[in-house]
Amino acid sequence: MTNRSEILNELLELSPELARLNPQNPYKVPSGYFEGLTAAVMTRVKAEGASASEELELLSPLLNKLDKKAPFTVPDSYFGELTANTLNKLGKKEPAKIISASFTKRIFRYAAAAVVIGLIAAGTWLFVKQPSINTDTAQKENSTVENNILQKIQDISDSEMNNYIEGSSNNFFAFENTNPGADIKDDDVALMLANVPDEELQQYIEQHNSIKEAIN
Amino acid sequence: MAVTTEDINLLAQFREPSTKEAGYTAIVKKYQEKLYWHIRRMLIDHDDTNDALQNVLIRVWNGLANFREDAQLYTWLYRVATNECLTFLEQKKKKATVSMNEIESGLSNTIKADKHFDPNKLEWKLQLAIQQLPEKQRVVFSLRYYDEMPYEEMSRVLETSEGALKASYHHAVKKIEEFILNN
Repeated sequence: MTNRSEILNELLELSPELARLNPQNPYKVPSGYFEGLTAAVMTRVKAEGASASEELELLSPLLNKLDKKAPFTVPDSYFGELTANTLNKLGKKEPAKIISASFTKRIFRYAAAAVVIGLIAAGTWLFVKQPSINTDTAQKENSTVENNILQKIQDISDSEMNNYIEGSSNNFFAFENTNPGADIKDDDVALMLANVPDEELQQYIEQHNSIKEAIN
Repeated sequence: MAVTTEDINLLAQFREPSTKEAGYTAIVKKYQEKLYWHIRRMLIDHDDTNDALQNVLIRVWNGLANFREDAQLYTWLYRVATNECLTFLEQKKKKATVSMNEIESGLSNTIKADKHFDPNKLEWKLQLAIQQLPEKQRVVFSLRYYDEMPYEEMSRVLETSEGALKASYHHAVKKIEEFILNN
């Protein structure tokens, strides 16, 4: 009692409003709860460490007697086909490798680019090798011209080069399209690409494959 | 509880690129029925179960390499399957814009719609009784009653304390017994 008085006095000091509230519990307890509580706890105590079936026998002998097989049916051969179906689904998720139909066209364009660059370089070389009356001055002029031409070749952007080549190569493809019976022979391709290093060809193919896959 | 020797070998097969598919196939064949029935008891319908199970098996393919082997393999598989079931039910609720109670009565209707359903047979009454439980309690009951899963393993599957699981299971058994006796 003394303890309760002290607590109430303490509450009064802390919060007079709270102290005035009637401290009744608003929650309801299911009927018979406390009467059955001891038995329920004892069941749990006995079930500690018991197997699932021993535990169920303690909790509900009725349920323990039931056949545990679920009454649902499964389509015939479902389990036999499940693994294959799942692997198929996983297989479809892997992106397929796409082999471009215009592979030959791109090789042809690349070869044409190499030929154009080669012609420009050869022309420059021949030009700067022409004899001149004043050798020293000519050599200096030739060197300057050569450097200027080479610099201008380097300054040409890829898109400008492509546009030039497409303009030239469209004539080839126009011929190809109007003469569908004419196949590009492997020997011709090999001849055009003879001076192109394998590493550059491979790099070109990989670059264009990755762009094609990214677009798709 | 450590992974069994058989599962260790299967996992090793799976992790080796040259035998990955063979290892995966063996794991699927070993656990497919357990996982199927665990899901079927939650979702009732075979087609829904098949969808969920395939999602689980694809998650297994993608995630098994990261399995840490600090628990049983089947514990991990059951956790993936349980989460898939709960997600499936949640999505079904969102799509249907109805309450979970209505979803659960929908599952009861699915049971009753089964061509083999017989309301006089105890095994069917049991299925209807199970559907009256809240979904998580349904999982607890299913794992303990059908799969006889130890509480320690169930605690890892459901990430809930053993004490809470025991209480939940005991309540579930009482509710189910009451339903069967009153119906």
